[in-house]
Amino acid sequence: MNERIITVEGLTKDYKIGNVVVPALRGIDLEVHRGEFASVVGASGCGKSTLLYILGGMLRATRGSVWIDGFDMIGARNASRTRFLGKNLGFVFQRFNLISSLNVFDNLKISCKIAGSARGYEEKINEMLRYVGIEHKARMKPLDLSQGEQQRVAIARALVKEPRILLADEPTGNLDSENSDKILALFRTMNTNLGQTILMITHNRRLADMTDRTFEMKDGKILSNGASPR
Amino acid sequence: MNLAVANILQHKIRSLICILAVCLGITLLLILVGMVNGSINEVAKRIQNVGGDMIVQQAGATSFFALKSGVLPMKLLEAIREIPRVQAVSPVLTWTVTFRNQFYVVYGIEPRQFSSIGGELKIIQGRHLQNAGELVIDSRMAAATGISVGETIDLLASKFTVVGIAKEGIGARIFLLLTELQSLLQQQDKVSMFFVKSTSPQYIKEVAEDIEERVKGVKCQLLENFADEMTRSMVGLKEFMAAVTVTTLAISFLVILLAMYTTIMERTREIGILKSMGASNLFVVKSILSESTLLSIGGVITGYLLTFSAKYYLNRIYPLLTVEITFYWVLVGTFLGIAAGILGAFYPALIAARQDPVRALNYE
Repeated sequence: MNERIITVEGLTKDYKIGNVVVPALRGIDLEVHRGEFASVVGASGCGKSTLLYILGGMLRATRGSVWIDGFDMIGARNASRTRFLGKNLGFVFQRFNLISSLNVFDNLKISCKIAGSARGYEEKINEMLRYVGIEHKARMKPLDLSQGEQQRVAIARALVKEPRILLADEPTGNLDSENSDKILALFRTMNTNLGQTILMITHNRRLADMTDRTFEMKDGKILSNGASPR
Repeated sequence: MNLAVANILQHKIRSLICILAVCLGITLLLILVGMVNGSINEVAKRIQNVGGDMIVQQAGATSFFALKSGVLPMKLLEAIREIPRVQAVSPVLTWTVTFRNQFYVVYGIEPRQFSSIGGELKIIQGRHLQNAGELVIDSRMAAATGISVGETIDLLASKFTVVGIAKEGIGARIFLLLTELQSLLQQQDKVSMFFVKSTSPQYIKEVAEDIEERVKGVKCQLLENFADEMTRSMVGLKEFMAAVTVTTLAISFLVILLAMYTTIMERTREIGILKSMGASNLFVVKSILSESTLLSIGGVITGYLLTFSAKYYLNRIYPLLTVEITFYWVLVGTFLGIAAGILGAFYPALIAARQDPVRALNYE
């Protein structure tokens, strides 16, 4: 449990808008351990999503280092970072981000294909859909599902490739409190039963308190490094 | 379902427009080229079917001898006959007429000599030419005009009785006696060409060389590769074919480019999603190109359906028009249609691949 899977040191990110440099992250240090369900909590605009995108290899940092399970996310070449992302990281977004032209099953299938694990995917996809409780809606298009169901599909899509880490960006931001609790419960089950490492970004203190460890963020800095509320 | 197929089905109107663009390009190409090749080859085949080994023409004449009438003196007939290994000679005077708004080539022939070179007209109704004031038409003209044996028609400001209908495919569509055509055109003792048959195929070249050497002011056109010669002698034909081909490619390319560019803009978020899942640039490019390739294949297939339907209806409306669609041009059409689709989608695919995933995900 104490093996580090995410290590962030001195991470900064500046956005340049015209001639003005706007700092979004001001020297972040952070560690998450394997099998942990951690959260980063903070107000809108504090840099949470920027942090998550850099961890996920989708955004370049200005300075600092990010190691994910021994892989240098900052120093790696684009192609190998993309490969690493495809195989080892799963993203869940506030807006679900499902591909509307594909049905539920195919949304999961494309994730397997990108990760390179398309062989034998059918059984794995069905199992994952059963796990999140929407196996009976596998042939439906995302827009025909409720928002709670869409987020379940998004979670299943992120997990079907068996990533080392699940990164969730405000995963309950578009859901009512009942559905939010269900999604959190699902995360918890996956964390407990599958040993899935999860790092969740949220502005909701109540949800953050339901995780193993919470990093509080403000103005691009981590204020409290990993208080365990549980 | 594959992402490319899903996107095609999701954007049905756009997909339909792309398919239609490629389809029209292919149809335009195959029909225009088919009409040109069909007309040339059909005429060339009819001339080859006359049965000789060569045509003796005025030196410097093109293969389109029908455009020039009596240019050679009839007395050359004897001079050619005397050349060793010449088996038979048939003089022909050609003329062009317009009948019921259609353009026809008329052959003035001497029936016995015409038969001697092997191109005997197969009369399927009525009889052969015997007297002045008679003519024979071919079965295709008969079908197109509805003229039957015994009818009288006006031609060259004279009245003619149709005495026979010959099987199509030999020489011209209208035949009358050589002497009569010479008289009507006031070109007594003049002919357009001589069909010549040698005693054996192995002497054809030798005979042709002998004729050109001994008879001044003529050239021999071998019938073996007559279609190629006709094509070569048509000034601007190659350029016309090239223009049609480039137009086809351009139409398909531009429509696919526009459609795929628009769709990339529409699907910015989707591309962001793919990238957030770890899709490489190559994966994104392949996904866009597979979509355009499928659309192009759809366009090519519907293009063939439209082409063959158009060919069928053109033949019904214009029975004398020959549209020849060859396997070579089908291959060219397939290649151009698919190439245009891939080229048209290539730039949009590169734009898609270069999109910043975070911006793309937040695109509204």
